[in-house]
Amino acid sequence: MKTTIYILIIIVVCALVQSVTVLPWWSFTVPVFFIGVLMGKKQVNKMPFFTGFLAGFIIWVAATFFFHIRYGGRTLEVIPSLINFKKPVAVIIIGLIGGLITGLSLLSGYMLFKKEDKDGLKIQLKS
Amino acid sequence: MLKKIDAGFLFPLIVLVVLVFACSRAMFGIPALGKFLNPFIGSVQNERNTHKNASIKVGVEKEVKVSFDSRNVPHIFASSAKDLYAAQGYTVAADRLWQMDFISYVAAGRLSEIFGAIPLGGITAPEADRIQRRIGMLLSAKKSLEVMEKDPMTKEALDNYTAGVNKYISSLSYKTLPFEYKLLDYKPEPWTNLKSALILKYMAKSLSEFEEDQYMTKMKLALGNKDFKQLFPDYHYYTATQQAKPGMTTLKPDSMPYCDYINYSFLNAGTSVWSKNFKPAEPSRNSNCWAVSAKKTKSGKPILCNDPHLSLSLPSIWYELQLSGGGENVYGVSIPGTPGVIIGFNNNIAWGVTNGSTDVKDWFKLKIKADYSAYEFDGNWVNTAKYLDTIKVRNGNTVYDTIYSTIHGPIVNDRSFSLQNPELTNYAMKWAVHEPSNEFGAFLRLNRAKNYKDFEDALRDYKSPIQNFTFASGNGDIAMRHQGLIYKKFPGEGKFLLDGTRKDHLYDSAVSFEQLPAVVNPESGFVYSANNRPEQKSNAYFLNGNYAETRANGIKNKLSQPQLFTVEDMQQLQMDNTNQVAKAFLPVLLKNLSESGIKDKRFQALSNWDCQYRLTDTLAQFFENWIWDLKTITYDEILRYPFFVRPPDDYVLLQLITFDSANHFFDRVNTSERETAKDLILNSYQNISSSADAGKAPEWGANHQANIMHLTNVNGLSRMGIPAPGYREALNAISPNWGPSWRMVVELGDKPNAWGIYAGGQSGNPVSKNYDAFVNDWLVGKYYKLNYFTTVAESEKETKYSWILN
Repeated sequence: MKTTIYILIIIVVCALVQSVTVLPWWSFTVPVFFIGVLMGKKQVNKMPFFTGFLAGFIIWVAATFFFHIRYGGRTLEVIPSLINFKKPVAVIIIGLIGGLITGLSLLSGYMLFKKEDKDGLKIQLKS
Repeated sequence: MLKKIDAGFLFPLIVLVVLVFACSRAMFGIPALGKFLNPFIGSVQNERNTHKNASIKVGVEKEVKVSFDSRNVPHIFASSAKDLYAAQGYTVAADRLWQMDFISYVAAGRLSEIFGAIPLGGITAPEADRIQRRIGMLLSAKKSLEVMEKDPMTKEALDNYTAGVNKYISSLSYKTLPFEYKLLDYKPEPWTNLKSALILKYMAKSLSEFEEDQYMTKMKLALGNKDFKQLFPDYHYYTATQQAKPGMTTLKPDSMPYCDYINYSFLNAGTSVWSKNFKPAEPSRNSNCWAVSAKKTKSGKPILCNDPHLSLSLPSIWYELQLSGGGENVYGVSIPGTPGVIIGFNNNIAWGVTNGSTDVKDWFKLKIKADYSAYEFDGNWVNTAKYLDTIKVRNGNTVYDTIYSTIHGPIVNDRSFSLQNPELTNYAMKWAVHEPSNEFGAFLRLNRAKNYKDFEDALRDYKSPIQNFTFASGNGDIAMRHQGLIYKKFPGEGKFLLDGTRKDHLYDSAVSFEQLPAVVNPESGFVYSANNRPEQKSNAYFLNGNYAETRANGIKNKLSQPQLFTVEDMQQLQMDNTNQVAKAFLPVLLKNLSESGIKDKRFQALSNWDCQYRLTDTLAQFFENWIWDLKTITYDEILRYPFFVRPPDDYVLLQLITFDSANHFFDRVNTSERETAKDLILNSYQNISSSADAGKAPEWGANHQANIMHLTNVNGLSRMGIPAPGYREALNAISPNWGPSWRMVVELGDKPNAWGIYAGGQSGNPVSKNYDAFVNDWLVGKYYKLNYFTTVAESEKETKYSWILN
């Protein structure tokens, strides 16, 4: 449940930050990092990387489809061939990039401060 | 405890930084994925329609209205010429910025700044740039710009166009950047007048590339004068003329002995590889243009038709628009990156162009010192000029290049670099494209021309590329001019390699405006051009070039008929798929076959064939194979030469068959009998029949396909393998990568009525539905009625959306 809430928070924050289009493409990593710090402090979630990954994956894939369909539905027909992949693979790549970057940001923030319960974190890192 | 920082966080952070960095740059031919795929600012955002009703700050003096019609053609209404060109710059940039910017890089030899040191089709970007610099593109654009800016009218147009483009560029963020910038990961630089001049030189280059000096020289040496003149004549029986009958050309320089300086001591033997396969001649000459006077049309109004053929590309080389204001109201196609309209019409006149195809590129063999410090000319040693060029390379070391030049022009290939053509090492190139000139001035004046006199005045200083300008006016005049910088040459001069040490080989006096080939209101009631040899007014100079007579004869035959023509007739003529070569050859070939006793089923079919190259025609491919085989066995002598490039003109073969069927070229090298034309026609017919009988006859559309390539040659952004009707020797001259880039039919009168279409779409954005919106209609020969508005109010009912620029 808590994970879902964090995923939702991250999605909303990312969408807000990215709506300021003058910022660099990776600018969403900064607030996600701080959400990670908050998570680490509260110790409410033991899976920061997974949470971030899932949030990033969802938002990149969902937003791509949202804009693709809203604007006319041609982009996803063109882009996959340009990066030499089939459409489903291209969509997975889009999700992976969003997921990895968001996940790593959240994890970095989460790990910024030392935790009382280090075992939990170790387990998380191994998984 | 919590206050303490855990150094462990650095591990995911470093991975994150590396990942972000890696996704921020293009690598291994893959775009910068992080930016490119980011859904909020990346390529997905490029499909967003930015064209809707809007008020935009562009910095014009008085409000400008840009009304887009249902095909997204902008109709620009301004109060002054200044505002008009600023609005043109802004509007064109909004649709085509990347294309125009990219072409200016290509022209200037700056591809390395975009692509780095990667290979581009066989050579690397820095090598391609060095060739472009060495042939003098950047320098000649700079020199021409100086001339252009001396003309106040041109300068005003260029300055304001540039300002308009820059207004658009400054409005861009990564999110709104054109698609290809994201794909190739770079940003647009500010537009300049020089970039406009470069685009003009790029066009001049692509239309002035013809050269056969080296090939003709070798051929002349190998064949001897008599055979050479027979196979590669300057004139032949079928040379199309504006008024006279075929074969009635008054000038016959062929009868003169010429260019005796060419011998083996002049030219040392070449070293190229033996090759039996020959390629069809480059199809860079398939444009048609004609005008018929009022007395030959049903409506009693003159009609002008034009279909300039160019390399088919996406985005299209053309951008359609209407420019109204500052004393002009012109409609037509423009070239993105340049002000004004290139082909079009206004209330009073219409004009069109075909490539002049005259040879304006010559090579001079030098006698030069080993250190390139001096060369011999007219008995003296003259110092070379030296220019140090700098080519910036993305993510790489800057390349420096020293370019030497002589009184003739640049030494394009020298010991340090000879990729342009190694066999022409230490030759100087003289090329009309190098001459500074102001073609923009000519087009801007054409845009506002009202009558024939204005047309002539507009073209007076037009130099390059040489074009056949065709003209018609509402008051009934029709005309055609072979216009451009043409030097007075002695017979044969420039057809072969020239001697750089000799003063008498260096031409420097141009044919005067009055002496250039031109025809005004001929008896026949029509004028035409189709890259055919222009009719010279005098014998005082020699012309040679990449002339083609087939389509010209087709047009002439049609227009000579006594019927009264309609707009629909003209459109059908532009879409005519009759192979003019087949039409000329077939009766002669069939006559020979029937004399040899052939009367089979295929013979009957061919006898009834209309020589149409439609998608479903099955005889077209047979004929192609047959004539190909006939050429191969006729020219077996010259195919053996290691330097073989192309066979003689088709008409030369027809002339030999018709008038000289026992010519020794018909005798095959590897047989003991002495063959004649009749034998070879039968042989080739049987050869091809036996292989054709084996399988089902393919339809023409199965083999004949057009590719409309994106400028980067990336397949994913191109339209490829489109079955296409037509043929390079038909009026509808579609070749795999070349075709009727714009078809236009204008009926003049009180108000012009016009139809047109081009192979592309108004948007340069590969993910927009308007990117290739016209292609399907273009293929099937559909025309759009062009909306020519005289007032803003008139435009309103056709407006889909509009911009108010202020």
